[in-house]
Amino acid sequence: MDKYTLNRETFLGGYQKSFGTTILTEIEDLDIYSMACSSNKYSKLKTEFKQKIGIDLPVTGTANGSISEGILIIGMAQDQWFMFSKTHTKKLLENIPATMGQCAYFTHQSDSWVALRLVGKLAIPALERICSIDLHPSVFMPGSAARTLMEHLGVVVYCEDINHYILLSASSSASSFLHALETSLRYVS
Amino acid sequence: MRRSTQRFGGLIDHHSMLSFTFNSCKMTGYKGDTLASALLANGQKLVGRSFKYHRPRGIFGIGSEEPNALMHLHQGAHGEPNTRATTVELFDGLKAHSQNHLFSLNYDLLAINDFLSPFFSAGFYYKTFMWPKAFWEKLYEPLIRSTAGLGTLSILPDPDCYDNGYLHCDLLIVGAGPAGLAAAIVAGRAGARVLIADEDFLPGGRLNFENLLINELPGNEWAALMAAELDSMDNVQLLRRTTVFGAYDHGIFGAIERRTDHLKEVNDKPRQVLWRIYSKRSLICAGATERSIAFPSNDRPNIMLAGAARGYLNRFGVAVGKRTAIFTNNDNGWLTAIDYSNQGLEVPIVIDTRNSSSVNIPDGMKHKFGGRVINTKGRRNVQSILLADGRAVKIDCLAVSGGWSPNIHLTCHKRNKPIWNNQIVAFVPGSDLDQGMSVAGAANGSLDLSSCLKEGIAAAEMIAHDLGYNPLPVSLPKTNREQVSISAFWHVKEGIGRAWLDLQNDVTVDDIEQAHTEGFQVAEHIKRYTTLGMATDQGKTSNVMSLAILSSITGKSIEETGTTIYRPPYTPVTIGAFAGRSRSKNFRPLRRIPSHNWAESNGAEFIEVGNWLRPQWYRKRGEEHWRQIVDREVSTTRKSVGICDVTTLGKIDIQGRDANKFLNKVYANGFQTLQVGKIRYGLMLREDGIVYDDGTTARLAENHYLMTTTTANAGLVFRQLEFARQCLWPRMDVHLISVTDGWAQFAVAGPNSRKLLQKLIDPCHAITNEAFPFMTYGEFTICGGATARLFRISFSGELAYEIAVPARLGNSMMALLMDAGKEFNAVPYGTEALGVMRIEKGHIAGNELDGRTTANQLGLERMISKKKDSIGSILSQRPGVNEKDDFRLMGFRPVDKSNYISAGAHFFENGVEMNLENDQGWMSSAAYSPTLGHSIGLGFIKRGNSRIGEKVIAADPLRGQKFSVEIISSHFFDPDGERLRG
Repeated sequence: MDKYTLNRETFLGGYQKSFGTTILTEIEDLDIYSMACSSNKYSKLKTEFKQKIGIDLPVTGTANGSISEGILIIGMAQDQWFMFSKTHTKKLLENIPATMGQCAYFTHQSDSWVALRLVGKLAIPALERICSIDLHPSVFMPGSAARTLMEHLGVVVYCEDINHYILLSASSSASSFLHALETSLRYVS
Repeated sequence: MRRSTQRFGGLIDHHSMLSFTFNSCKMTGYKGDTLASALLANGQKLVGRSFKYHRPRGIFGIGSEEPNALMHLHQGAHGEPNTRATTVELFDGLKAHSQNHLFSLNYDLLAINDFLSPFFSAGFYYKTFMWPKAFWEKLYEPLIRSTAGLGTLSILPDPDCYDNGYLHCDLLIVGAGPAGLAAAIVAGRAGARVLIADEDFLPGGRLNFENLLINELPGNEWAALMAAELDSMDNVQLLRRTTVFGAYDHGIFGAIERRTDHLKEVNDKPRQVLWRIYSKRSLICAGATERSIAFPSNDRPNIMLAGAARGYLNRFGVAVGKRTAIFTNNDNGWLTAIDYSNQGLEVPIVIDTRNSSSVNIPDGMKHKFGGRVINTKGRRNVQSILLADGRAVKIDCLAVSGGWSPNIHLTCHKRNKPIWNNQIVAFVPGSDLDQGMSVAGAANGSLDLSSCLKEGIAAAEMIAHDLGYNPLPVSLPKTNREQVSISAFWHVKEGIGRAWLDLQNDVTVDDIEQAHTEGFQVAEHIKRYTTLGMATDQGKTSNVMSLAILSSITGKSIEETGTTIYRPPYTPVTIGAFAGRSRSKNFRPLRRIPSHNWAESNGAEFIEVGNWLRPQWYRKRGEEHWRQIVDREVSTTRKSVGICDVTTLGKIDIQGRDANKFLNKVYANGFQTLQVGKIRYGLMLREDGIVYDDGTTARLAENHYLMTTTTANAGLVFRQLEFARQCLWPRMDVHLISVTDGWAQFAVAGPNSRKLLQKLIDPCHAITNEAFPFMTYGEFTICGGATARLFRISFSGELAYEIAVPARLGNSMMALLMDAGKEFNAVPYGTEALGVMRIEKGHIAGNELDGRTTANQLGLERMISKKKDSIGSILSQRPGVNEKDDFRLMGFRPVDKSNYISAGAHFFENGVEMNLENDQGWMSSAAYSPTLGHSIGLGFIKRGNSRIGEKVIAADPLRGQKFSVEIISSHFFDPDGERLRG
């Protein structure tokens, strides 16, 4: 058995590229779980989550916590959340399903999504070319999140800070998603 | 090389000379010129030929209203016909060609059409080419096609790139003229997110064309100051070179931004970007367009709109004539005379159709009130005009003003009706504007500068308040007092010769009269019969004039006559801009299987399956024909072991207390008794009882299931389940997640599949037939601790497993499986071998699940449980889909084994005529079976299960095939399933 070892390969080979001062980077070490509230268990889940994880459940389109501090949780839809942490602290997420009892259902989704971080002044002009939602900082403020479409691909956009975005899209079409972003950045740089 | 003639100041950069060519003749211009102004500065008055009669034509306007100066820009694949010289920003190296002439522009052989014009009047197509009937296709149409049309296409793929984008704002201002700029300043200073777009490269609108003062500053300087302030505001975006071409629902506008058309080097940047603008409010400050007067021979080169003649002088420093006469029915036309006169240029006469004017007429300026121009002379440049009083006046330019029509297009794009304003003799926006839309300035019919500014400011203040901002008080800037009175005058009836209305489509006053005589009395009908306003300029300078002519014929008022319908786009938009970057291989996203890289480096040849790229087969050195490869892959799998990446199958994670109940309702067969760790084949029906999809579902835990779907229906099934969850049974505790992308899944099939997997699965797990029988699921560890899911299922009919690992391990997993399989001569196999093996086994796939077939036809009727209710179960029992002589899925083999069955063939009894009436069914799938040594097929044939052994004709007229086939069981291979259970 020892002679057979499985190697994990990132979807975009650890991509990183600068477009002027704007940088597009594949986030390689992101652990992702989705959480859906069990019917009629929202109050209990809310209390349990706050008590055991120390974070308030965010409403749809907003986020609480942060990846750098441990766990980021984003409200994706009514009673549905995405939780993120760095892979090396993934036990944080792995343990959550057990601690939440019957309040919620969890799905490990780290391999379903390719994650890219887009940071810099060209972020909004580049995303304007492919994303129909309004990303102006007065509307899509830091901490905001949304599901949207970019070039026919489903995308989750999360604003970490002004001109700092995390973008998630389906891992099977990672190369098409990267192409869309690269093209936009090339066009506006 | 021709050099630019004397320039009179203007807003061009006299230090930046640019060279360009027109019809291969080198010319020069300056930065800030348009192609039109540069051509005029080079003395080029003749710039094109008219569409129908090939009349010589010169520049007529100064903006997007231009009907005559259509140019072919650039060369080869980059070439673009029908660009208006008046909107092309000059750059060094620009190559422009005139169009619509045979041989040279000066000597156009097709000018013969002009002499034949009596035969080419309105509607001549419909009358002339009716007979003889056979001539239409063979003579008339080819002849018309070879001579008609404007410009030519290269017929090469467009090498330029384009893009799309989305913009959002509180307030969209269309037009950066005085009203637009004033409004943007007010709203911008109040803090609103403002987007202001103008089709010109220099903001200011007519402030750049006129000698107007604002707060004692020249208008163009005031505009530049305002534009600079707007550029400095973070909350304001001033889009130059951007035409808002359409107004759509809910405050959405379409706009085209010309990003690099004015640059010599584009560095692979898009030449144009098509924007979809989402606005909370919109303010239309699109200005007004001057129109002409219809009089005999009013189309000669250098007869142009008075405002244009003035604009070329004031903005571009080009005097379009040394002896410029003016023909006007309004005060504004006089400004041209005054500006030309002030530059020391001769103005031989001003002919005003009215009896008086409130303009302060300069001393010594010759003029004629109540006058008419009844004819003109000059071929390549107007040389003289003949007045109604018999005087002939020598000129080299005639500037005509028939009044100004507000640019109301965007206010009418959703069928809003404009109203007639007698004071300015033009249509203005009606009261039924779209919600959130306002109009200000000349577009609103307020033609003087002071009113434009006042309306712009007032509208912006109101909108800003409405949006919750507090605009700072702004005092109305001081301006010159402008005279704008007009008296309607449309058509000079005296004189001999054609009076032109639509210069681009060669429509005259006579054409309107003729159309009316022939029974076309409604504006929309007249438009189509005469082609009035149907050219690329959409009749911007001619429509109102033509409606006036029509109303004078019908005796109705212009308002009663009404306009034709305004539709987007306001100006032509390049098709490439609509496509944006979605071209060629970027037309849609591609999905790659986790083992894509391994497959690519191991001979895989890919095929598109939906958005997925899947290996069709893996070619080995020396294999020339695909059948060789597929036969090898099938044979090796059947004899030893083969591996196929089956990640593309849909995988849906289903959790919840009611998950079992939910599955029992969405599947036609029962799922209530499925035990944890077990897998069941499921059949899904549509509401109408037709089969929707099939697949397997594994029970991972008490309230946790994993459903698989076909590749083609993965998205559809997920959507169907979400619909059921959210709308049919919203109280059920069920949650769905697509995990198709999250898991790399591999079919390991063949007699040695177990041995191969045992090498990778950690020893603590047993996968013997007893410990892990057919239709069993388990979560295992492999390779010393990595998580894997193992499913004992088989699509090939062999002893087989599907092993799933997290997607990022997929490429490595494929390599490991092949490495571990070396001792068994394991082969990777693609979709073709997959298809062959499933046909041999008689398994259904997309070809059989085509949205028309029932469980009964598929031989799966016993799967529809009678003990429970499920989607489609009731309607699956309706009589129409359960007839005794219904189609039935059967197997087919050629009687002569050397024949190759093809999918799509239809069945007929021997000796009957092959028509729909005798049609017995169709072949849905076919393959060559290397296992059986001959071709086989699956198909639907009437009463199939009672016809085993019967021979019918399989006819495929499209491929020219027709031979006898025998009806047999659809299970060609291992019908008792001994191998897959072994």
